[in-house]
Order: sequence, then structure tokens, then C-alpha cells
Amino acid sequence: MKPDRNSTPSLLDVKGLTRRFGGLVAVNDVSFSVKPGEIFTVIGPNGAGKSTMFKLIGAFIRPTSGDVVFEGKSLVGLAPHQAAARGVVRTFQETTIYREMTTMETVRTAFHLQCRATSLGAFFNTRQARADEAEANRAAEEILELLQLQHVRHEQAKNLPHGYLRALGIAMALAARPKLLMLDEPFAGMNPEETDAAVQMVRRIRDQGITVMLVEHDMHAVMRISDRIAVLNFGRKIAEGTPQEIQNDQNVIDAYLGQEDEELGI
Amino acid sequence: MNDTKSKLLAYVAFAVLYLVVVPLVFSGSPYALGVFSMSAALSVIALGVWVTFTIGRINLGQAAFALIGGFVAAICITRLGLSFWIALPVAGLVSAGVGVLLGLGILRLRGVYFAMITISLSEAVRLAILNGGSLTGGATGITGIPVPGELSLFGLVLIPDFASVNTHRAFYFLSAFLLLASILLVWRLMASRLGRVFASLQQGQELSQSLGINITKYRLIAFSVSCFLGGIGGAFFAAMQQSIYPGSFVVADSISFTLYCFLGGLAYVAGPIVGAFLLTIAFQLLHEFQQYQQLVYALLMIGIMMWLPNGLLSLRLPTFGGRGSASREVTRNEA
Amino acid sequence: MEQALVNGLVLGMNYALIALGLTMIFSLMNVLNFAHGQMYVLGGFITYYVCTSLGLPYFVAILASIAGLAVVGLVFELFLFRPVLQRSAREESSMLLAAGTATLLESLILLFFGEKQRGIPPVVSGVFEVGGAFIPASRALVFVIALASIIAFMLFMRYTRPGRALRAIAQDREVTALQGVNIQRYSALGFMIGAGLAGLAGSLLITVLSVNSGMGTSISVKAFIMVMLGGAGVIPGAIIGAFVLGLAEAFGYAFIPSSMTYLIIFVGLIVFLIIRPQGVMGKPWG
Ligand SMILES: Nc1ncnc2c1ncn2[C@@H]1O[C@H](COP(=O)(O)OP(=O)(O)OP(=O)(O)O)[C@@H](O)[C@H]1O
Ligand SMILES: [Mg+2]
Repeated sequence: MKPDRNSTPSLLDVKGLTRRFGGLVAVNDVSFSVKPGEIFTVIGPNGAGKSTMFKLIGAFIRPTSGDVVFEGKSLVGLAPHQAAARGVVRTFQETTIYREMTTMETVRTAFHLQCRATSLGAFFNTRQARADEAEANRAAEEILELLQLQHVRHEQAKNLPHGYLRALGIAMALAARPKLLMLDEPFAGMNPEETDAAVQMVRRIRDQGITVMLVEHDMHAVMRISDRIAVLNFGRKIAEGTPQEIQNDQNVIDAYLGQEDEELGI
Repeated sequence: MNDTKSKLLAYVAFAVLYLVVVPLVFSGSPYALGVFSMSAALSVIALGVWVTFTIGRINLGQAAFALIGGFVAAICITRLGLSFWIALPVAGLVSAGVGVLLGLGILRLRGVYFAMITISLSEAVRLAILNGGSLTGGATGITGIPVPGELSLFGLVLIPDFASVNTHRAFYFLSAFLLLASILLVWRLMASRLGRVFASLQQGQELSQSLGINITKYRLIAFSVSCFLGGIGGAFFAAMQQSIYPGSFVVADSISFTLYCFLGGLAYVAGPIVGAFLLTIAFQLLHEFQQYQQLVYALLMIGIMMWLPNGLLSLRLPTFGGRGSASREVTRNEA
Repeated sequence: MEQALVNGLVLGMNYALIALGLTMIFSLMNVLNFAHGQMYVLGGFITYYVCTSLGLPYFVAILASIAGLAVVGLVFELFLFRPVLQRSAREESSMLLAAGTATLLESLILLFFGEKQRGIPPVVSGVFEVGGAFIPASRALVFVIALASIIAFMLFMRYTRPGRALRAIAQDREVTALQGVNIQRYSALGFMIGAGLAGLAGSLLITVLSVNSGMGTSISVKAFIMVMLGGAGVIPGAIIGAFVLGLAEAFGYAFIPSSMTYLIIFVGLIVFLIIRPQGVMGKPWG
């Protein structure tokens, strides 16, 4: 599974990425590359700029300088939906859901990018539109099964038990058929068993050929799941490497890990 | 699928009732047919407002688009000598076109901001028409618009000259056709992928973007359909009244259209239609209350919000959209 | 030219009273008070009634109008907005309710005060001349009262306990509630102050422009324009919006036909909002 770093071209290249908010430099001259099929994690203390990094890659905000290159083409200047169409999709917090849609409706809405019929075609319910709908239904069932959401398929999102919302978020993202899936703190608030299940889940997603980027504070999970890790501190990248390398990096221990020995479990 | 079938059945039943039963029962009363025609035209306009509700925008500018439609039709007919049958679609399309141009800018606004800018739009268009010089006739508007003439294709008469038949009945059937077609249009829209996309825009724009939905495009589609319906309704109004003034549709009308939607129920395509018919007909029946129309509208608006937030249709179909306003609640900060 | 400037400043000062009230209610409750223009009209009618029918002095009429509108505001908040907002925070609900209160107030004004145009003669006579512009003393008086009221309002908001509480709620409702501030009571107070300011503006401007029962909506629309220009919920924004509108109106009326003036203002507003949707001072959002 481990990609050969020297021969494979990278899927994502972040080059000298910088984003200022007024006087604050939230992301400061950060560069790294993500290879296809990797699980690549960004860690760092609160306010280090991790979420901002995801927003920049997903084209939700524009960089002050630097470039985001995905499959050889820049994403800078695109609208978020165009970045999604290229295959870069991120998940949101649990509260960001379509409150009044059922699980099934949500996933079918998320299937938008796979619909081949035009808007006019959808309106006139052409053969292509009907085929889209059938395919959306089939794919939605598949995704619900993968995430074990089948039995809540007709439940409105706002009535879903808390534990299902994160799975729903991932279900939505998967329905958009991403090449690069960005998960922001997917294990937050989970107990160890739930985290184990979620780690397996993320692996299964990767095994489907989807490259995964994570932001996560649960070091134990991070060290188990990641192929490579980048560490941010005050917007700057202070280290990058395998979990092994990161755990032994003096910079990282000083800036971040040192304070969290217990969490690290080492 | 069963749901679709029963809705289709309801639609056909309504069409039969409206095309056959009503005209038979009221054939002797041009006045009653006129009231129905007016209700139908207002329903078409209000249906447009309803469509903008589905993308989460409170549209208080529909009077502007009804005015644009009315004046475009009147200008086409009286100044350019075009047939009504060309003027009608032109009116709808011009309204939709203006809607797209304005929408490019104003659809970025949400919540009260969108409401405020559309209210201003109602005023702005009225003033623009007031200042339109000889083209729009200024304050006196355009009067003496001839009734729709014959529509024929290759010598085959499809629709007779309204002046040569019972004019009231002719307008009734025209309004009925427009209403039934508009319902079909909106219904199809909502049943397709577009309806789902619209709902997603209402419930989470950023999320929709991240799923690859071009929110600008779909907002524009919804808004232009809304403006199209407003323009068609306005053009019909001008033809039926044979006149149109800058004061024919004002801010208060924009608010009334919203009231129709709420009275029927925002969760139902039929909502604005139920609301428009009920209020228009009620006021014809309660002649003596006419001078209190404003007061009654006011009490209705307040009463609905206090006691019936999901509209009349929610009474009949308690399981359909969920009960109580809490079920459609959105958080305060979403706008 | 100078005349238009002077008229614009007088108008702007009074508009600021209207816009401040509207923005205050909005920032506290996220309610767009459609009835604001009708409240202004009611203030004018109360003033007219107290001055001419009861023959009481003008300043009594002003106080009566502020008090009367504060009561109207309180009633609206307590019996209409509070229950509806408690049940549903959907914007549509409070919006239709607000439109309903506007229509209600308008028909009640029509019922009680009739449809006649009403004005009162200038309270003071005489004319000042300042740099080539003539300022009737009555306008100067209106200007001064409005200015004093705005200063008093700002001082109240900045230095008193209730004022600070109101600003805190406008900033962050949840956090303020957690600090033990009684949000409901202050919402009622805010609604009273907002309505009272509209009443005050009605009292002042009726000496310059007469009122009629049907003009409420157009006043509300003006208030919306000011708030959109300045940024909703922002106090300095409301004042800026008011002066921009007052001056634009005064200069427009001086040089071009009146309905054209507002058309130009609307077009300008829409273009402005396309470029800057949050207004001059509003927070960016969306
Ligand atoms: N829109 C914004 N405007 C101004 N400052 C912002 C904005 N978004 C983020 N910031 C600031 O940028 C910095 C980085 O924020 P970011 O959310 O990226 O951190 P993070 O690493 O995700 O933190 P956490 O672990 O708490 O989620 C913070 O100081 C934050 O306050
Ligand atoms: Mg974060």
C-alpha cells in the first residue's frame, strides 16, 4: 500500500501557501506534497492554521500567496464547487448538515456531480435524467451500507442521533466521488472503540482509491493511521515525515508533542 | 412513486374541476368568472414568490416583476402592435431576464438583507415606470389595451379573437391554462434534481458548494423562474384589465403574495394558490368589509404567525411537512 | 446649493433617529421592523392631535409621542414578537409578523386619524442666514432637538448599565445571556427605545413635512435604505446611511424631478450593495 515516493507523481502539491487575516498570518509559507493513495495528516496546536489550510486547498478562501496544484493544475481562483468537481472535497462540522433532508435525500443531493443530465434535462425528466436518478439511488444505497446508515435512511438529519452525523458528513463527501477527501477532526469526541471503528472506516475509504487528508488532535489515532504527517505551528510547517519520524523530531516535541505526552501514548 | 401518483390524481381532479365544473356553475356570472381569473393570475405570481422561498430567500420584490411583465406586454401590444400571444411570453422572458441581471448581484444577499433590497426593488421599478415618459405613459400608465386577438397557425384557428366570443369566459380559460401550466412547471421543477438542489441551498449553501453545486447558477435558475411567473401574471393582469399603471403592483402587493404563501403553507406547492384564491374570493364575498381589507390582512398575517405557522394545508396533512414551526426551524445566525 | 446642503443636514439628522431605532431593534432581536415607518407616522399624528386638538405646547406633544410609541413598541414585543420568536427563529416568521404589524398599525392610524394630510405650523418663527443659505428657525430647532437626542442616545448606550447591556446583547446574545443578563427585558426595552425614536422623528419632522396615513411604507423603505447603506445593526452605520440619504434626497429634489431622485438613489443602492453587500460599516458575512 505504501506509495513509492520517488516514482509516483504527487496528487496534491501545496507550494509556499500563505494566508493572512489582517495582521495575523494563519498559514505561513507552507509547502508539502500528497501522493495518491496516501493518508496524510496535518497536526498542530489549536489555532495553528490547520482548518484554514483545508479551506485554502478546497478553494473556499483564496491564498494571499502561494499555489495549490491538484493533478498538475492550479486550484487557486476556482470557486469551491469547481474544486469539488476536480475531485477535492472536504467534510464540515457536525452541525453543517441539511437539517430537513433525510439521510437518503442528503446523499442523493450530494450525488450532484455524478448527474450527467443538464438542468433542462432534469426538468424534462429525460432518459438521461432518469438514468441519473436510478444510478444515484444505487450509489446512495452503497454508501449508506459502507457507513452503516441504512436503518436511518428515512430519518431527517436534524433528528439523527448525534453519533450518526459524522458518518452522514462522510457519506455526503463520498457521494461527491472525491479523489482527495479532507476530513477535519473526524475522531473528535469519540471514545476509543468508536475511534477504532472510525479508523477502520477511513482505511476502507482509502482502499477504495481515495486519497485522504486529515486534521486530527487524537495523536494515538493519528500515529496509527497516517502514512505521513505534517506539523503546523503558528501557521508554519515545522516538520513533515512518517509517524516514526514525527515522534522523534525534536522541533515537534518542543513545540507540541512535549506537552501532550499522555495523549501520545508513548 | 405512489406519492407521485396521488399527487397527479389530485392535479387532474383539480384541472377537471377548474376547467369544467367551475365554468359550468358560474357561466351566468361574468363577475364570478372575473374573480376566479384574478385569483388565478395572483396565484401564478405568488407561485413565483414560493419558488424563491425554496432557495431560502424572502422575495418582497415580486410586484416589480409583475409590473415589468404588465408593462412589457402593454408596450408590445399598444406601441409595437404585436399580438398578445407574442407579448405574453415576451413579458415573461423580459421579466426573467431582468431577474437574472439583478439576481447576479442581489442573490448574494440573504435574510433581511434580501428582503430589504427586494422591497426597494418594488419601489424602484414603480418609480422607473413613473419616469418612463411616453413609453410607459408615466403616472397615467397604459390604458385601452385591446383584448387578445385570434391565434392561428397555418390558417388553423387555435384561439379565437377574445372580442368575438364571451370575453369573460375567454379570460377565465386563459387564466386557468396559465395557472395549470404554472403548477405543472413548478411541480416538475421540485420533483427533479433541481428541487433537491434548491432545498440544499436553503439549508446550507457552503455545504452545497463543497459538494460541487454551483450555487450561483441554481439561485439564478430559481429566481428567474420566479420572475418569469411574476411577469406572466402581470401581463395577464394588464390584458384582462385592459390597462396597467405604475400603482397596479406596489410594495403592499409584494407582501400580500408572501401572505398567500404562508396562508396556504410554505411546505406545499399548492400553498400560494390556496392562499391567493381564499383571500381574493373572501374579499369579494365580504363586500361590506372591503374598506377593512387592510385590517383583515394584518390580523391574518399576525394570526397565522401566532397560531398557524405552517399554513392551512398543514391542518389537512399533519404528517406531510411535520407539525409545529420547530420542525422547520433554522438557527438565528444562519443568515 | 447651500440651501440643499442645509436641508439635507436637517433631513439627515432626523433620518438618523429613524435609522437608529430600526437598527437597534434589528441588532437586538434580528427582527426587521417593517412597522417603523408607520410608527413614525403615528408619532406625527399624535403630535398633531396633542398640539391642535388639545392645544398643548409642542414639547408636550413630543413627549406624548415618544411615550405613546414606546407603549406600542412594548405591546408589539411582549404580545407578538416574543411568542413567535420563542417558537421559531425562522426569519420568515418574524418577517411576515413584522409586515402584519405594519399593516395593522397603518389601518388603525387610518381608522383613528383619517386619511387627511396633517401638518403643524412652525413652532418658532424667524430665519437665520448662514453663508448664503436660509435656515428657518423651526428647522434649526428640529435639527438641534434631533442632534441633542442622538447625542443623548449615544451617551445612554455607552455609559449606562442598560445601554451597555443592549450593546452586549447586540454583540452576542448567547454569551450575554450566560452572564445573567435578562435578555427578554432588554429586548422589550430596545423595542420601546426604537419605537420611541421613530415617534420622536415623526414629532420633529411634522413641522417640516406633513404626514398622512399612507406614507408609512415609503418611510420604512427609506429606513431600510439607510440601514443597508450603513450596515444593519451598526449604530454609526445607521447615522452615516441617514446623512447620505438625507443629502442625496435634498440635492436630488433641488435639481431633478422628485420621483427621479429616488429612482437614482435605488439604482445607486443596488450597485453599491453588489459591490459591498454588508454596507459601509457592516461586518462581512456569507
Ligand atoms: N475568517 C477568519 N478571519 C480572521 N481570522 C481567522 C479566520 N479564520 C481563521 N482565523 C484565525 O486563523 C488562525 C488559524 O485558525 P484555524 O481555524 O485554521 O486553526 P486550527 O489549526 O484549525 O485550530 P483548531 O485546532 O482550534 O481547529 C486562528 O488564529 C484563527 O483565529
Ligand atoms: Mg480547526
